[in-house]
Amino acid sequence: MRLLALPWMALSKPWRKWIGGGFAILLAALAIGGVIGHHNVAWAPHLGHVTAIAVCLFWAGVVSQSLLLAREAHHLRLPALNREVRASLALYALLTIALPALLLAGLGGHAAVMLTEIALGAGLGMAYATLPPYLGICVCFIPMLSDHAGPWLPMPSTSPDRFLAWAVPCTVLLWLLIGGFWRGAVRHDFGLSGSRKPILLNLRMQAWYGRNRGNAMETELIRRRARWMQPVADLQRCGPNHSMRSLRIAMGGWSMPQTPASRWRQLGVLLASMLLPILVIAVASHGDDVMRSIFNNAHMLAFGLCIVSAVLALAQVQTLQRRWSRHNAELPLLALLPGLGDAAHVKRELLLANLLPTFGIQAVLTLAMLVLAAGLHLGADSDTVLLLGQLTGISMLIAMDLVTLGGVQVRGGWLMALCTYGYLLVNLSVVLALPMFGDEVLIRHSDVAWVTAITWAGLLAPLLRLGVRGWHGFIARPHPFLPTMD
Amino acid sequence: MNAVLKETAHAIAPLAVHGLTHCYEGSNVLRGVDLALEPGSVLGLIGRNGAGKSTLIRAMLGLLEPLSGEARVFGEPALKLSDAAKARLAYVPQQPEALAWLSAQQMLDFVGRFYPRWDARFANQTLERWKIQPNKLLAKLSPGERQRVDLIRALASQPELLVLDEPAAALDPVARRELLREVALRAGESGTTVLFSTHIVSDLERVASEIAFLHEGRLILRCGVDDTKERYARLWLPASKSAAAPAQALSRRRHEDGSLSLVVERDAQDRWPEAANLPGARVDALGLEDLFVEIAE
Repeated sequence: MRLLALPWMALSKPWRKWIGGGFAILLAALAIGGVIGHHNVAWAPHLGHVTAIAVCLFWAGVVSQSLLLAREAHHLRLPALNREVRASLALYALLTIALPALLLAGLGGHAAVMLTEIALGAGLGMAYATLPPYLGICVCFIPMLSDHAGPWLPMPSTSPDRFLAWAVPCTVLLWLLIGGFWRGAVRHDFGLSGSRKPILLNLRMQAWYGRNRGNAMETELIRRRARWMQPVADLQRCGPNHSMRSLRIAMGGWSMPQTPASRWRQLGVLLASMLLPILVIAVASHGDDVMRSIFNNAHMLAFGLCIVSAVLALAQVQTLQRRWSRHNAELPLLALLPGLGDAAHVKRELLLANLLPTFGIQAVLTLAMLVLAAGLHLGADSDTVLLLGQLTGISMLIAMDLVTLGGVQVRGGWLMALCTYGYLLVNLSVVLALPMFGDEVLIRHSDVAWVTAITWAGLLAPLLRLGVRGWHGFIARPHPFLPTMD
Repeated sequence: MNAVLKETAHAIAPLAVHGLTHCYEGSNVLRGVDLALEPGSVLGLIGRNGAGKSTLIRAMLGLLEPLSGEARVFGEPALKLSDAAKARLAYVPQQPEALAWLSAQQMLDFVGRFYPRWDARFANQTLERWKIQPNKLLAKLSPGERQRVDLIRALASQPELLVLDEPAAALDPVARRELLREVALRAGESGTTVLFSTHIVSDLERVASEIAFLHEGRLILRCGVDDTKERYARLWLPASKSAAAPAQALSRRRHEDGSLSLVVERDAQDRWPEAANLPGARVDALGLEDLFVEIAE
């Protein structure tokens, strides 16, 4: 029992409850699926696939937590705990990989295929949590690859034997990789850099920093980042006569003025990391015609354009929130810096310094969206809904910037709920505006249009209210460099 | 006419607060603080952790909006300072963390553009003397190095008013000694008014001309550093005489045997309270550190 409980010990009580509940439901669904389909041999591959996904999630969310215990055991010199962690991993491998494979083989599945598929699933889950972020993130794209690589990559449902030919070596390699990184993460002390530190440890570090974690993480990121990756501020044209540009330098973040070389480097890394997965998927689905593949996925492009706009807005807001939460950093420096002008002038410049760089990029994204919509020959109603998707990012930026600068106290949960709502709305806009179900465009139905309008009002009304409250607070402040927390 | 204006300007306290109160999450941090700094003085603000020193300093400089009371810097409301007033003052917060994405040299270049009397030579020389790599990002410096860079930033602006919040907290003894020497030099030669908070009593004795003792949000003592031994003492009364203890005392502690220890102050006629003359009563001189401990305990 203790061996089974071991990885759960590294989770907090509420998380244990939520994750445990979720997996209990998933297990029940699988059991029901097994009972219903036990006469039908064709069910087994599908059940195997679903089981592999469930096991993947379980290893990513629960079993990987053993890494934390293994590290503690190593640092505190507790060999007994170390042995228990290893035994616990073996037990979970037996229970979640070997046992389901045996059961599925009993239902008519191919035993070796089932075992390989589930072991690969578990490995991917473990890899996500215990490999460095640049490798762990790639795991997120594997399910998309499996959807798009059907034409040339043998899958368990279509060609079981040929699946084994590539999946077995890949699975072995993956587990060897995990073993290597696991060993490194356990043995190295706290000197692992952010880029080499497994995602699990990075996330745990965020939890340790508590409320001020954004600032601590940012400093840590700068400290750990390779020299060539550091953004280099461009100090030309800053000073009392260039207050807006000076404020942008003082606030840092992605919108800080950078030297041209630094800007190109940053842009190159960003584009490479964004375009690479798209190209991999495009090549995997239509190796012969990549461009056709990209434009066949118009919904993905439209969604991407809206989401990038919202993410940019949130990144800018987060930077601002970080600056306005510390009273020993930029705020006192700026509050007492001569040459920025009177309060009214500096407020105006500060607001523009915060909004304009993001607005610029959002305008370009909106333009790209219009070009895409024109290319797809959508109607005015579809164009409007897609533009509303763009509006999410813009309205979030304005409202939340004003909330922060105006010192309005809003519960973090409330803002998080608004962001989630906005994210869902962006998804909804794309689904409604594009012909994703045959030739039919859902937004053309008047009842759907009405519901959509009401749903949008549900986001824009609270944002408007927050924006107005923030504006009043901002205007009432004697100067803008007062922290939010005081 | 100019002479009159100059005199008026000199009469204005560089830093003054009246009736300052503030609270965090319902608990009072400042309870009606009155304090004014004389031009050219070096005031050491002392108090235990959480006494309200940093909050008082931030309220004095207009870095937070107090619940009530007023703060003035060079005669101007602290929350609405003009550029001219800002150019005359420099502040170093506790554990400064500003502009982590710039190198030390970039930060000094950037900030220096805003100060009309910026001494770039001093900034460069001191960086070199204090062995701080100018091209290293601030985020990559140790807390002590970061504090020193911020001190250079403050001193290079040649301020008339220098406010330091626990400036020596992250410094090693050598750097601390250098900083104190620099502060004493500025005050002595340039007439810079200095306010610094600390709980290191030896630092106060080394440079401060005055001390102010903040305890639980109240300013309970203010006097010249050299006067403390003369003005304050510990009065010990045996149990049999403890009923005659004076009502006014800075601190009061009863021992297990019923005897009483109080920190008392001389009155306007330079006399100790009458209870000091009772048979069995004893008056002990207190050093600055003992005085601090007696009051804060």
